[in-house]
Amino acid sequence: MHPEQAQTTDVEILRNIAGGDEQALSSLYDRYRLILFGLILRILHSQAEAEDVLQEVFLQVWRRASDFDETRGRPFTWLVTLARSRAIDRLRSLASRDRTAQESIRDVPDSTSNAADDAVKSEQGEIVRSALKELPDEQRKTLLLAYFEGLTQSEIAERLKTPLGTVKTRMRSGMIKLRELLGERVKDLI
Amino acid sequence: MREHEDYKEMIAAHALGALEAAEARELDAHLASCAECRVEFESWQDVAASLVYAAPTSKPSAELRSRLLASVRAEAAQPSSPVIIKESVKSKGIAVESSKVESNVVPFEKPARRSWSTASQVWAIAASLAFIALIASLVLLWNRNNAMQQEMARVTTQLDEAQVELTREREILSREREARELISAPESRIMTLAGTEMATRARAKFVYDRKTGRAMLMADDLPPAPAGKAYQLWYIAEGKPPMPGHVFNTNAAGHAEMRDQLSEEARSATIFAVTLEPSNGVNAPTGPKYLLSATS
Repeated sequence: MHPEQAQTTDVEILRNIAGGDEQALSSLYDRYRLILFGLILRILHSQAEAEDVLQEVFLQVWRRASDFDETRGRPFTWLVTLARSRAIDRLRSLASRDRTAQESIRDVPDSTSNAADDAVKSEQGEIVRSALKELPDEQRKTLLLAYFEGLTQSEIAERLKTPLGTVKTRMRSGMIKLRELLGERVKDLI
Repeated sequence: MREHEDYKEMIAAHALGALEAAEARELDAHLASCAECRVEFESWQDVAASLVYAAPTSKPSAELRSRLLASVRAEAAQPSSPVIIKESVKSKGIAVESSKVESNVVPFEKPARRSWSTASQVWAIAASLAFIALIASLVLLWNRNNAMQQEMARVTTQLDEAQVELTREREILSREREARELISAPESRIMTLAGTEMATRARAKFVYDRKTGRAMLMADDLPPAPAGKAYQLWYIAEGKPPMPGHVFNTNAAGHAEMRDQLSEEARSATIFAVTLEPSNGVNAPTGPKYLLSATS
C-alpha cells in the first residue's frame, strides 16, 4: 500500500534540507502541512498560535535536519514527534503565562479540511481511526489526553479522579492494544 | 534503583510524553545506555505518532508558506549558513580563473594605451561593482540584525516564562513545606470539613497545632464568593459563642488556602465551620454555613 519509494524520498528530502536546499524544505512542507497543522490545531485550538508553531517546526527542521538519523527512526515519526512536542510546549507556556489567553484562543475554526484532501495519508488515517474505535473507552481516553493535551500520568489520574496505578495500566494496555491492532501496518502508516 | 524490566514498562508512556519530568529524565538516561530499550522506544514512538491521525487534517493559510520561506532565507543570509559558504567558494573560484586568464593572454601594456574613455568605463564598472557589494553586505547585516533581534526577543520571553514558573514553583514549595511542618507537629490535629447543602461538593482540611495555634485551611470545590462577600472560618467550643477566624476566598477553580493563628481558647474548639459573610468579616456568624466539621 505504501510505496517504499516515498519513504526513501522523505529521507532524501531531509538530507537535501541538511545541505541547505530551500526547495527541499518547501516540498516537505507541501507534503505534510495538512496533517501536521491538523495535529497542532487539535492541541492548541487557535489558528494563529497553530500557524506560529507550524512555522517554528519547519524552521527547526531547517536548522536540525542534519540531526535526523535514519537508522534511529522514520522521518514522519520524527516530524510528528517534533510538531507535537512544540505544540505541547506552546500550550504549557500559554497556560502558565496567561489563563485568559487560554480562554480567548477557543476560536477553533470549522475549516478543518476533509481528510480526503490530504491525498498522501488519508487512507492510513482511516486505519488508525478504526483501530482507536476498537479500544475500550477509558484506554482511548487516556491515550488521547496524554497525546493531545500533554497531560502526564498523574495529571490524568487527577483529571479523571482515577488512581494513578489504574491510569498507568490503562495507558500501557491501550498502547499495546493499539500496536496489536495496527500490527505490521504501522510501518506503512508512518 | 529501577531495573531494566521496570524501565521497559515505562517506555510506552514515555513515547506518549506522559511520564513525570523526573521519571522521563531517568528513563532517558537508561535509554542512552541500553540498546534493547532504545529499539523498543523507537517502535513505540511510531505507535504514538500514528495518533496524529486521530486529529482531522487542516489547512494553514497560504501566506504561511511564504512567511516560512522568507524566514528560512533570512537565516540562510547569515554568514554561518551553508548557502553563504557556497557563495564564497564560488567567488574564490572566479578570482582564480580570472587571474589565470590575465597571465595567460592579455599583455599589460595594450589596455594601458587605450583611450581615456575606456579606462573611465572600467573605473565606472569597478565602482558600481563595489557599490553592489556594499549594498549586498548591508542587506546581509540588516538580515542578520533582524534575525538576532528575533532570537533575543525569543530568549527574553523564555527567560521571563522561566522566572514566572520558578516563582510559582517556589511559592508552591514553601506552602507545601509549611503544611508538612504543621501536619508533622507533635500536637497537630487534622479535621475534615464537608460541604453543606449550600455546596454539596465542597470539602476542606483544617490542620492546626494545639501547642502553637498555627493553622491552615485547604478547601476545594467551594464556589467563589459573590462580590462583597467572603468566607469566614469559625471555631466553636461547647457552651460558648462561635469564635471568629480569618476570612478568605476561593480562586476560579474553587480552591482556597488560608493561614490563621488560633487563640488559646479557640484551640479547645471541637466544631469548625465556614459561613458566607460580608467581605470584611464579622464577630458573630450571620450567613449560611458552607462547610462543617464532622462532630465527633
